[in-house]
Amino acid sequence: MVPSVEITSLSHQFSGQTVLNEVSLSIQPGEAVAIVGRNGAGKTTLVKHMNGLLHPHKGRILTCGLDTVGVSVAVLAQTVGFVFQNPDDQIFCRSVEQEIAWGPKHLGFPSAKIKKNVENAIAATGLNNMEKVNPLDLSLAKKKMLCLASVLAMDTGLLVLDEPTMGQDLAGKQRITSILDELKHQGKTVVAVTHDMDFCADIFERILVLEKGRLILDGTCEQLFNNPDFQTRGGILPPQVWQLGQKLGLAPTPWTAAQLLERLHTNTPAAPANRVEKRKTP
Amino acid sequence: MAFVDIENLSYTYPLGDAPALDAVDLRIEPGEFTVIMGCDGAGRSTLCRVVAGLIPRVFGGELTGRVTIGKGPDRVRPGFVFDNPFNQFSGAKFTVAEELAFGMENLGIDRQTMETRIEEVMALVEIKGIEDRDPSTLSGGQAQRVALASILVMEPELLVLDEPASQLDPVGAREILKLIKKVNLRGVTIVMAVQTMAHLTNLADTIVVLDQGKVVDTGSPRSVLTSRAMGDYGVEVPRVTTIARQARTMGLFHGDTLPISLDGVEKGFSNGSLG
Ligand SMILES: Nc1ncnc2c1ncn2[C@@H]1O[C@H](COP(=O)(O)OP(=O)(O)OP(=O)(O)O)[C@@H](O)[C@H]1O
Ligand SMILES: [Mg+2]
Repeated sequence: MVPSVEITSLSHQFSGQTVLNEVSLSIQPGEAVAIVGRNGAGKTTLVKHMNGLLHPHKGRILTCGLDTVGVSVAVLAQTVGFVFQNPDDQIFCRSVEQEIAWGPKHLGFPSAKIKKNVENAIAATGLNNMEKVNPLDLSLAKKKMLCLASVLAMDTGLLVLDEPTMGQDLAGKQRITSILDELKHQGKTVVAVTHDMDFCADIFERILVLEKGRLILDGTCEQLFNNPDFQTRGGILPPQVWQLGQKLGLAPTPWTAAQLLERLHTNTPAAPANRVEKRKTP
Repeated sequence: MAFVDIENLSYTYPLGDAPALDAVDLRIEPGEFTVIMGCDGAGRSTLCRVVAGLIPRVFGGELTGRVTIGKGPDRVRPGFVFDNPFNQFSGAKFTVAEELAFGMENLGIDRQTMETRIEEVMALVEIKGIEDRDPSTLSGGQAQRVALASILVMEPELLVLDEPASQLDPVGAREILKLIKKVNLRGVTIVMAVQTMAHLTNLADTIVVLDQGKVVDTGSPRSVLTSRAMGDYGVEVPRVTTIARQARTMGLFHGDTLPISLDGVEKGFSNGSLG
């Protein structure tokens, strides 16, 4: 199968300053990958290469088999949906509905499909009753939701999301989590930049850590949360559930509330066999 | 007399059909650190804008009730940090350093003081090295730090912040919130809207919870975050709190009070008391 993203020794500079340094990685169709790292590490710069907004100064990037250098952003938009970190950089229509319909219209979808995709995207993101609202009047969190809806309506195989949970309340985060679960279920590829470690632990089986433009870890949540060095260099604090599990000496360390409660349960005095076992763990 | 005194305040935006704030009462003492919580649309940003003096002056609309900011006859100049940092920038300045000087120039502060303050604050928010950059090309987190810095250099007596750490990396967010606490300990009154309190429980004196424009709870972080009603208001409480509550119903947590942070949390769990 053609990888969704194939990056070979990619470097990028702004005014002579190296912002991405020899990054190589490959993302297969159906994978869900999170990109984390300190502010200014190069996360946004990296994902902007995936839809051709930026081109490498060195190295190469193929998105769904296409060399982004030879192809326009408009053509790439057929295969990759992109949510900007700052929603004001993305939104330009005068109503929520128009904004969401813009993408599928320009991909040349038949009008019935446009209508259906827009309706589904509105329902998934909870923007019902706001179809006619001017996006300028939305809160930052709702603007961010609108950007996600616009990308969902384009129904691309690859979705690249720059900080999708930024500014979201609890319900918004839960909504985004279930949208991504559904996308994974449909076999879509999802790449998300995020600072939200609970979100990482809930959704992503693979995590990339960038430090000053270099890829320092390409692994799992577990590898990241178990390694203080990567955490310091990536500016990361493990999720509270993970930290609690460690304080309680649970092994392997849980990263969801359900796992933690389950491990706590099997470790209680009511289960003597486990109690003996537990003493062996540090 | 309270530093911020809001009585029976209701407010509707010019194009809004429902009030964004509805009969709000709020008193904040000088030097207090108040956190405003509530789900999206509950009125958090609106209340911040009122305290910062931007409503109705900038946003228009109709305000009823009484709002007094500052002690007695003294007027204060609140500092306001926007939720989207790129909206904070003047757009008239070419570099980060000029952007930081902009507010102080308007206050008529002398050049020497300006330079010292810029130097100091840039170190505090960890943005050294980008002083000559065009603010519009900064990364989101860098922009959020510059936006905060541009207000801190003016040394306001009242600092209002709308989600000041939403784009910061986790370690950076913790550092910046500690910095805001440090500013508060120097006597600055703080009003801050946030979505999550995971790293914040020991910073605030008071949490005010909004729901549909109404104040539905006010109190210490412990009393507010351990209240069952937070679920109904869609407020995100620390995960240790929800886990301990669930563990309690399963007979796995025996502490007298639910934890709101990880400090000493192991004592209440059955597993912890064993090991
Ligand atoms: N147009 C530009 N000109 C000059 N430098 C730039 C430009 N765009 C980005 N940079 C710099 O490149 C570096 C990487 O930026 P990028 O936006 O990729 O960071 P990021 O990891 O997404 O950070 P954040 O978490 O704050 O969003 C930063 O130092 C940033 O200031
Ligand atoms: Mg970024």
